[in-house]
Amino acid sequence: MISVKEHISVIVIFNEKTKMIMPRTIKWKERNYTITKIGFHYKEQRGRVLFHIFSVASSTVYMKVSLDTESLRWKLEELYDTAY
Amino acid sequence: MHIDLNSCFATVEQQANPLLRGIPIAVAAYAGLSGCVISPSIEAKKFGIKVGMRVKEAKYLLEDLIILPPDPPKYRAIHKLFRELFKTYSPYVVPKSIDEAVIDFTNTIAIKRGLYVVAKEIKTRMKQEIGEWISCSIGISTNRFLAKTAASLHKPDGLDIITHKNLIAVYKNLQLTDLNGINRRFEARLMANGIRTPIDFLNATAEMLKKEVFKSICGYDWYARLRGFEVDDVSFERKSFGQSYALHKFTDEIEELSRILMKLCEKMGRRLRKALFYAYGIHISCSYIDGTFWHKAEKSQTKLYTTLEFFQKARTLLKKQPEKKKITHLAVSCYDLNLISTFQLELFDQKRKKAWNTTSAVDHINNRYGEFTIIPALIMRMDDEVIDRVTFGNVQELYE
Repeated sequence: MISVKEHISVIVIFNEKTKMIMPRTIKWKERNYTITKIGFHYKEQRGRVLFHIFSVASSTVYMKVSLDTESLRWKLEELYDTAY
Repeated sequence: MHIDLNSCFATVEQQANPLLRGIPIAVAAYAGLSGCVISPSIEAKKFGIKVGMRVKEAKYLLEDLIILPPDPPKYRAIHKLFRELFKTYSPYVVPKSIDEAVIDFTNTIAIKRGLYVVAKEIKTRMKQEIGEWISCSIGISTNRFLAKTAASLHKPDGLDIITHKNLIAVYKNLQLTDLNGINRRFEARLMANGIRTPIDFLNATAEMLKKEVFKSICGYDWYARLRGFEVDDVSFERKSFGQSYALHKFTDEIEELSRILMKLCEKMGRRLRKALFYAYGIHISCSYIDGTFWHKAEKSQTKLYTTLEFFQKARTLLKKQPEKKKITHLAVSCYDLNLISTFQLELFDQKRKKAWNTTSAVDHINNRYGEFTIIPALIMRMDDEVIDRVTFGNVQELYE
């Protein structure tokens, strides 16, 4: 597991029928990662700011990403790549 | 009903990261070789990896074991989800720790459906509503003690009921230390009185347990407990706040220990103040590299509230160690608690009033912008020490 803590670009799907929100594509260091599964989603209060934390995975890479609900910026918190 | 999440922290990590499912992992307090394993996954347990083992020992048993650091906010989030789920069945949900809870179904509608059916439903709902990788062992009986015993009979993913019909059969397959609340010391005491098995324990008279074995009302409580009567439905009010830390680098240097002590006092003080208490007593304890232990407590004449007040008292105590030896584990706690609302600062004590108001302002800022936004200078650059941890016991503060 690698701690990253860098801001990223994310394409997110909001599904009104299933009431689910899912990061679908994550762009980090000029590479696009297609997310196929959400492992867990929870909220965390850091000071006065509420963060949404998503643990997501593609077929080979796991990422923990956070959404700052005040700035609406996404951050890659940590990464686990089965290739390493 | 007693519900125990299987390999809680490790299972939660596997739920979060699908790539870790089905492979041996362990959550350790620290990822280094001297770190302590706090939660091996179900797969890792098959290789003999246990809670309390050093990472070095675990890696010796399984070289490819993946070690992860703990992620307390995630575990707390899972715990809250479980509690909300359990509360849909009964308002009487008592969290025993971060991964265990007791549900009392007395006078609830759910009991009419049959608790075995309810237990199966809880297991299904946990997988559907919280995470498909999450599993638990459930025990059902007439009191908390037997429900917990039932939950421990089959792990992982067990579901057992203890009634008067199978009580003897269950006890026949257990040893004394398998009973919750009986450790090696109590086992020795029981054996010294001719009680060698749970069946012997069950057959002992209340009189004998009270007068000869436990020499107190505890003996009668055990007599009743073993038979399925509820004697543990007691809640205790908060008596102390404490923080402890297992040191990375063992040291006897007072300067280094003071920094750790300050951070412990800051964390302890914030929790105390959040709960609206002040204290009179301070206690510190040290575990040493040679396996020995020392502790000291002192009651203050003045009220203790600010981090600095706690730190000054604690450091004074620390300097009273009888010998200078390298410390492996340091703990501080405050006791003799009183609610803030019950007193007023002395009329002319302006200096103290200013200190207390400053502390409250700092707490307010830290609450708003994140813990340790403003910190005592002594603990600068200590981000990696005395970090956020999940308590193994009482989780009451999650709901305060």
